[in-house]
Amino acid sequence: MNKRIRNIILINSAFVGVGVLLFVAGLIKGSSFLMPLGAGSVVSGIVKTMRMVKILKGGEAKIKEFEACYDERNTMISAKAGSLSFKLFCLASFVCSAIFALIGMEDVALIIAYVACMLIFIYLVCYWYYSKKY
Amino acid sequence: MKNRLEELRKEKGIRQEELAEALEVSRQTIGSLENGRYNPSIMLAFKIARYFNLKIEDIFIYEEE
Repeated sequence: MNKRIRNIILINSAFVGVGVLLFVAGLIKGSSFLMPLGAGSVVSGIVKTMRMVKILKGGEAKIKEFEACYDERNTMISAKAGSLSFKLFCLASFVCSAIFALIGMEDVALIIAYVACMLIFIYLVCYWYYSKKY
Repeated sequence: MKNRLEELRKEKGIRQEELAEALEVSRQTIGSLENGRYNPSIMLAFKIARYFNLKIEDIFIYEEE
């Protein structure tokens, strides 16, 4: 089986598994947040898995067409979009955090600030890793 | 970077889709290569050169800015 397709199926199967757990946990706790989160995760995982199975059934031609969507140009576009999204997210977090603090919702501001700091830290670790690798 | 990709493709009488399939990239990538919006990696440049049986320099024109 094609390696990329196999990985996508594995990841989405994990999403389905986690989704089921979240749904059951939400059902037990009576949580109106966990249940839809779990259900959405299950549905998303199933749909994506079915798409991969359809591609596999389509034969070599379909698999090649699928692989072509992950060519170097598309990979570059995806990387640029991710990089810009990250920068805009950091900027938006800073602005939102400041606004929430100004209107007296400091708890929310703190959470947003912590999430942004965590993401920046993860970025630094990834940057360090790739600078060592290359 | 300027290139002769479109000219060579038309000389050979093939469509962008066929060239894309041969090079294992998407048709959009071929389009972007032909109009100079995207420069290929060295690996793809070698593949293209091998496909047309030419040297890389005969297909891609490097001009210093």
